[in-house]
Amino acid sequence: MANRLSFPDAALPASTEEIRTRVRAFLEAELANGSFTPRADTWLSGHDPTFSKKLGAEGFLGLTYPKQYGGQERSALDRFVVVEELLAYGAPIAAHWIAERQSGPAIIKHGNDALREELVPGIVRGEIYFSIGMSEPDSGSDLASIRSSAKKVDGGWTINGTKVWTSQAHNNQYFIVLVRTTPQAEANGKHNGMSQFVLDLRSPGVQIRPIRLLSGHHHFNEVVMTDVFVPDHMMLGVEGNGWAQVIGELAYERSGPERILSTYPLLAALVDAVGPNPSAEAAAEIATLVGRMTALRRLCISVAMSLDAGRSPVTEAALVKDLGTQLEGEIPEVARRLVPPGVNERFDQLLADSILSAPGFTLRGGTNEILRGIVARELGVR
Amino acid sequence: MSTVDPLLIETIESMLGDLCEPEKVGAAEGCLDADLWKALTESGMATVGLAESAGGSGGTLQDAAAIAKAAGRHAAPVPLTELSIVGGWVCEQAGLPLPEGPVAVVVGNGTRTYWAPVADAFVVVTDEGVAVVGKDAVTLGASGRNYAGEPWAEVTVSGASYVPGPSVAQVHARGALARSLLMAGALSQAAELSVQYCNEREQFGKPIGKFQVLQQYLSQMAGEAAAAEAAADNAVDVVAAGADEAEAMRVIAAAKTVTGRAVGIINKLAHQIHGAIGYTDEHRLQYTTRRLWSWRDEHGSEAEWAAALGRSLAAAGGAALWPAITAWPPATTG
Repeated sequence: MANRLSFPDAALPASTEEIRTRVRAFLEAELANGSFTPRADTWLSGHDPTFSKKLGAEGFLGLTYPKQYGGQERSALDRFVVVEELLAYGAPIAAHWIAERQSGPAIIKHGNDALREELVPGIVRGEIYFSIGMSEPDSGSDLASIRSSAKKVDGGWTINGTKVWTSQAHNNQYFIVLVRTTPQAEANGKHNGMSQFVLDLRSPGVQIRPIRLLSGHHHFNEVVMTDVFVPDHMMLGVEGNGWAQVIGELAYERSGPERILSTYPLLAALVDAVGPNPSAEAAAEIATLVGRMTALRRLCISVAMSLDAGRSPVTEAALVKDLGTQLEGEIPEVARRLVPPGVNERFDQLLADSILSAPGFTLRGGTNEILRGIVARELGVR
Repeated sequence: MSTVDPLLIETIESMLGDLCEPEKVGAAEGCLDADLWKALTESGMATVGLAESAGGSGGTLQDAAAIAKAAGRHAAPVPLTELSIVGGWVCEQAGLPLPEGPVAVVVGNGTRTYWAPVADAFVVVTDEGVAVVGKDAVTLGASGRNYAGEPWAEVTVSGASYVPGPSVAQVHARGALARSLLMAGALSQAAELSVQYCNEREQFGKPIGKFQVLQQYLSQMAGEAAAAEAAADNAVDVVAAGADEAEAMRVIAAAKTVTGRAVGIINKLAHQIHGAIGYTDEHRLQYTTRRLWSWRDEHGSEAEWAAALGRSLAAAGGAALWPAITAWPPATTG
């Protein structure tokens, strides 16, 4: 029989065309008035609160959220279209990115009413930003080995521990932090005894230290939490259910078009840089990238449709992310072979962005080796 | 998009599973499996996707594509897609009756024609127009077999009366679409056989699938196979939605490029995983991998198609690229 992985037929409904037209018109107007310059990898590095608030005001954020919290209860495929347009235009979307993609949906799903009312409308307006509080200095791929902990105290919890690779923690107001609420020795199994909290990054006892990237950019941080008090209502979901909640978050984190499009602006610039009459070899190299991008985009749409239909295509998302992040890294490799430096300033900028951020593509959100392990297990060989 | 009835897939998979045992596939080398051809034509499977009014079985191009992928997966030793995807479509477009018997499609008079030595009917496409002729109207020149033993010959046609129909370039593209679909099926088979082998073969006291490096290979293969199928499916959906000739050429070019590229990756890993037994005559893997090595070159290699696609994209410029990418797969109404 065919593959054990399932990618059902994929096609966006024609109803998504309306919002695509609207977001494209918005982006063209913003480009024209100089509100942003297209860059690569903007969903992690392009932190621009002004731009995020504009998106919120235009109704492009929280499309799928309940109306009660400012959302529009639209299909996840409408969101897919908005997101892929923002990525393709290289717009600065890092400020609201994590909040809108996964923190908001996690709070809507697992949070109590007070937490939802406090945070979700601000996410939809593009005003409240989140980072991710998962990895620790000794816990990367092996996330279940985290040591940060929360102890119950009167009216809340006291959190101690260190999180790392925390993108934009210095700019964002919150992160959702995964901690042990039962020591591993006492928990029934490695994946039990963890819980999630919404933690205000400006709380007393939180220290945020920059970790500069090899590009010189600062979006990574180390977040040290020393006796940080978190009130009871900031616990997300059920005590001890943190692992399952995190896995749910990863389905959103791994399946989106940002896993194939991080360097798309460079690809478009490459087409211009080679000119209208490229050599057969240059033409073929570009077409190979575009051909793969269109194939992976179809798989990406298929995963989005499965998610929208209430299924949990965790393995399929892992597979697409593995292929997509490889493609993202190949685009600058081809681009630099076809166009010498110094010909086109915009191209050079996008190439530099892409080359210097490429090592992260196949690491963030689960390394490709871990992803392939997930796929192999589904294929039936582990 | 048109969803294929799972029952159709079940039926063709079961039919080909029964009729394409490795011994039969091997025995058909240099010719074709007449019993299989009979079964596929009598059941109407070989003409799914062609209008009933034109003598076909009805159904969509997506249905025909599902059957073509199954044929590729089972290494079916018959010119199925020469009828269902290529020749039958030419006849349908030109208002000619569908040919009877095994078919070969002559794409340009005097050119290498796949399956010609075993064909009873020839769909001929030239700059003068298209025609359907029998064996008596053709002369076979130089001949040979592809890596998988599928026969070909150079075919010269004389005395045919041509009617207007699809161009040589369009039919060449249609042939590339057919090969892309066959490859999509065969690539998934190479990946699947490799999973099976990793579970069966034991070394160092455990199935070799327990070794992480082989798990990584299998995952890569599954990924490349899925991407190849997606590229072929994009082409089918875009063509079925009525794309104009230029757009059809571009999307088929992308399909042939992605599937052809995947052959290099998947065949290499499949043989590496299978070890020495995998490149012997007695193991079935070769029926799949030899076809893949052949099909990636037939009707234009990925180098040819990628260059054509790339020139078209470059001529349109960077600003036109994103609208082009988001046009595939086409949006559905309703």
